[in-house]
Amino acid sequence: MNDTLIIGFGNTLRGDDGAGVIAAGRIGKANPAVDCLLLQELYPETADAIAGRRRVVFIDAAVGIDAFSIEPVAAVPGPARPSSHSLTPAGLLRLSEDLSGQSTEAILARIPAFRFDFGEGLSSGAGAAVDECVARIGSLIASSSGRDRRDG
Amino acid sequence: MDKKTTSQVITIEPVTRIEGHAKITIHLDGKKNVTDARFHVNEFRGFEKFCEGRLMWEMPGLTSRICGICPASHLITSAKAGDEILTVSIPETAEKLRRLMTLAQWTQSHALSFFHLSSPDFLLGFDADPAQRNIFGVLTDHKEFVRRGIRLRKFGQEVIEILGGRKIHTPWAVAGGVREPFDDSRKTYLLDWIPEAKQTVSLALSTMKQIHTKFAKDIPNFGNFRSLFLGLVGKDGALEYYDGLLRLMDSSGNVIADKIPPREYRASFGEKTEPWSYLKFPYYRPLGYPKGMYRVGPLARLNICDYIDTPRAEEERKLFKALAGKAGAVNNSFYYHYARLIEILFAVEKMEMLLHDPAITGTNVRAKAMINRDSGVGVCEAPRGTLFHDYTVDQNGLLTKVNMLIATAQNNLAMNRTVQQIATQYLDGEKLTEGILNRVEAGIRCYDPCLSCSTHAAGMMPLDVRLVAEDGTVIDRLTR
Repeated sequence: MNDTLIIGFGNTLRGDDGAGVIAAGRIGKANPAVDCLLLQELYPETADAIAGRRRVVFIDAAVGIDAFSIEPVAAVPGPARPSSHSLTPAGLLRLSEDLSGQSTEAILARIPAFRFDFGEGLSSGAGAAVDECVARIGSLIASSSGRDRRDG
Repeated sequence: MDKKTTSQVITIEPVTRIEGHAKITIHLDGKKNVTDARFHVNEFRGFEKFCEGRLMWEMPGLTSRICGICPASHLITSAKAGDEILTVSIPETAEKLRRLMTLAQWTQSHALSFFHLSSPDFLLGFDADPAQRNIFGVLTDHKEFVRRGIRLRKFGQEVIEILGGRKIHTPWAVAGGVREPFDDSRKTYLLDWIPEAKQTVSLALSTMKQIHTKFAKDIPNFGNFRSLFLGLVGKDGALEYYDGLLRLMDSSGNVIADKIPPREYRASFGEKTEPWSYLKFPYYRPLGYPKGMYRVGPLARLNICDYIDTPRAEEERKLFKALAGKAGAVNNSFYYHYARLIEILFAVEKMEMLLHDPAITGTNVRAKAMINRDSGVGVCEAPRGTLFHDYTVDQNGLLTKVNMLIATAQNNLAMNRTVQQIATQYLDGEKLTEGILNRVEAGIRCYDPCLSCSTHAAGMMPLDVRLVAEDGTVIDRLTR
């Protein structure tokens, strides 16, 4: 098990909704030192895959933003009434930490999404943001690996 | 008092902790009596239409996309419709592998329903703070329960992933069999899960019996009415999940139609539409609409079968049947939950048997043939009930007509009846409380309806309750 887990989630058959999956897939291929999960939604059992990791990177499509962004995720129960079968990154992190008793550093990479029609493929805006996501998360992984080697 | 100006509609939208999205409206007359209750399904998927013109061979992969929770059921039912079009008898190994995946599908879906969607109501109570009445609230005092539930579902998902290459939307089953044989090296890994899975189901069954006591006053109002029950049974009347013949039982436990070949389902079952819902309303034709209301799924399956061919599940089935008493059939929808757990136990026991079966590791997994028939009906017991895929093709295998009779739709009339019963019992038209509203939702959750989640853009599913006068004016609103 690698220290870092990349989780890309979304529906690749609904246009930009699958941006997180596409980005995570590319990151996973380019970085053998990370584990990668490509999911339609965040399911409760994904908590098991997070437990014991040093870091988890969630990558998701997001509406209402114009630019790619990265933000830390704090473990909280999630919305007051979650639909339960699909969790938020914060909720999943909370579930993982509560069940395993181990904390995991988490970030959420948000890819701006514009088009959710039926069909594969990304809008130009989401496609450009996916490229940026792959580059920035790749750099993050590389710098972290370098730091780990120095620390080691 | 003018009835026209005082009739009201209470809207609960969207219903939470079910798969998909829906709303409930409760219609009141001028005296605040419940006159009607409707479970509206607002989603429109259109699979039946846009699959026309596609190749029959593509259908298992396409239809598995209908749902993220029960894709394996659509996959296998579609492949079975394809078997009929090819007119083949698939290899023994392929059938056993499909059976294994169907049981894994039951396990993961039922575990999700009980541990994650319904347990907050049971363990925290219908009147608990809605901010706490979710899986995180359960986690506070029942950590081991939650952990086991997650692992039980994971076990089901692991079986599906090992067989199909991925947890959801695998295109593994095809007309004529399956794409890949079972990787023998993973057999021990899966068998190692069995003891834990059995322990977890035992824990859940024990908890369920405590729940029956705890909610003894509520249970009689949770969809307790007469209806027919439909499902597949084996040739000898055993609980069946993959093949078999259709059996219909009435609310007194009498078998009123038996050994109906699935291919002839259209003669027995009609589908009505209503302008206020995208979900169709299937009914038993001889009794007409809506008298021909029937229920499918765990409650129906355990009512109609003569026995279960695994030892521990059969013991539990007998206890379940005892709930029927003089009625002859268990007519209360609350017991869907109990039946669901018994089915998980059956699934785990049966998977253990299949994994020990030498034929499961055979390598002949696909029969090949051309288009030999212009139509095919596939049927399977999905977690939520009997699932039909009915395809008509041209000589090249291009689909000219598609009809799918979905399990949740077949419970549509019963769900509406359940909402009406609960609303009548608990609502007085003046007081809207979280507990009352959640009981209405919980009534729907008995059926574990799957309205399909095509995008994950979820997160917030606020509860929106509206009191609307007959002229459409919103006179009160409650959101959380």
